[in-house]
Amino acid sequence: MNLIIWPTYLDSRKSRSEGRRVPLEYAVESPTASEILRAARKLQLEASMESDRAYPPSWWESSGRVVVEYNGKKSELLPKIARLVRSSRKR
Amino acid sequence: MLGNLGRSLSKTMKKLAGMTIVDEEVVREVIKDIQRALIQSDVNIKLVFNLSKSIEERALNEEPPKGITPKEHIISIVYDEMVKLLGEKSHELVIDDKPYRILFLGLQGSGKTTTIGKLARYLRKKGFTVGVVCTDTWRPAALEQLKQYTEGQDVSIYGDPQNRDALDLAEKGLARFQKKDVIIFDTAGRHKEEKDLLREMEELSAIVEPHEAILVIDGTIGQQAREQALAFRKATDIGSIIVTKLDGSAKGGGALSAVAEIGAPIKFIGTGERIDDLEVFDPERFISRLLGMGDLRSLLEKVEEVSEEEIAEESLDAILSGKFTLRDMRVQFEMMGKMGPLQQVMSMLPGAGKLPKDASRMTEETIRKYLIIMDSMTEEELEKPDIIKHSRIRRIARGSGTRNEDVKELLKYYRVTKKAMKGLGRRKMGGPMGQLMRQFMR
Repeated sequence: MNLIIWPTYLDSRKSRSEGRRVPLEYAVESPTASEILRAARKLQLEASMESDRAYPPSWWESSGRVVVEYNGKKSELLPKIARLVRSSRKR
Repeated sequence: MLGNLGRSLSKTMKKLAGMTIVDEEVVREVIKDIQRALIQSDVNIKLVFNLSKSIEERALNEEPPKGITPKEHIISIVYDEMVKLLGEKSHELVIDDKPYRILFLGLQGSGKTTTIGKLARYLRKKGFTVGVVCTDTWRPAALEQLKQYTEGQDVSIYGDPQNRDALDLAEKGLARFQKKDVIIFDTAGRHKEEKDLLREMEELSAIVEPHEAILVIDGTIGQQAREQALAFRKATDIGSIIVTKLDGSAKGGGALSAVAEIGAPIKFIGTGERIDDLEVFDPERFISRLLGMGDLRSLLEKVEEVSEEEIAEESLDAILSGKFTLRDMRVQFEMMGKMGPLQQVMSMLPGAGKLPKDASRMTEETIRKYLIIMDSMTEEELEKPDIIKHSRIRRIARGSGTRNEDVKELLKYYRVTKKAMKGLGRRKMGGPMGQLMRQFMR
């Protein structure tokens, strides 16, 4: 199944009502689509990036998005990706 | 207008105008071109041959009057004969009683309801009060459709989806709209054949006692329109005809000529989907437009109609003194929008058809988009567009649901126009375009 991951999901600057999907402890500041793509690939998942897409609630900025092939719940996948993005920032 | 027919005819006329010598051979060639164009648009073969015969005869035998070159002579003969093909006279809708009752008829899908909406608006513009009675008991959505078409136009509509009795509806509607200047009765377009249609007309006529019965004919059926018009003409002597959907099909010429041939009066033609796309049918104007000679009269009338509604007096002074703001541009755009599709407006200018179809559609869409963008600007920004920089551009784009590039494009367009306007102010404007612009800005 293809899951869409918007950078907003992992963005520590956004509130949950603005579209964040993970707790603040996993979130990072303004993640990019390519960071998410790298994290998904690290999890050995089939993933691709669509960089000119805009998250509809903030349609004026095209943040891009990532399409991940994953069989399971999005809520399971997101923390995994979030953690990887976070650790990639630390280095 | 009529798609291919107009294009090929105006091409022929251009070809003729470009020739140096006009002899028999040229005449034959022109006639052949015209024949081909007409037959393609489904005009009856017999009519086409009669037409070409009389063009040929007159072109070869008649002496051109003094002061007119043979070439101009032939052009005017072609024009004459084409006008004859469409019945020469124009028939105006005369409202001479109150309430003036009009019964609308038409086969299923001929565009009756749409046309009623257009006619109601046309009459409102002329200052008449209008009531529309919907007696379509077969299609409850018809009432909804009527309401939509006449929205915001101060047209009263009577209808009752629960009532299944068309005659009863007509009676009640008639009683309700006694004080209106014009009452239009919409009928159910359920018929597939003329016979049923005429029976319905008779039944309703007994109650409504209409001053006029209007048959709506779908222009895309081509010469088959003849049968419908003929039966209708036989059945009533207060009948007139509106031919619709002339924009979409190549067969409109066939429908028009077939109706004209039997002498049924065509009062209006429907030339598009928009509410303004209804024109009084005047063969002379119609043909001059078709031949690419332009129809300045219609255009100026249209401009007048628009500027009566909204006169931008200050604009002219401002523009001529070189002060042209975004606000002035918005007024112009709004006027252009009201005049109807640009394509239609352009086709009224001499040398028409210059505008490729796609280009004009683009422009129309662009104008709408620009208007929306300007709606997101502040008063100050409209007065002094130069203050619009990055962050304002971003805000305006976001407010109007467009991209930054669109806003920049609009500003660029504004600057170009401003420059052009400055030039216009200095030079004296002449010719039809100048006249048009002056009308625009008066």
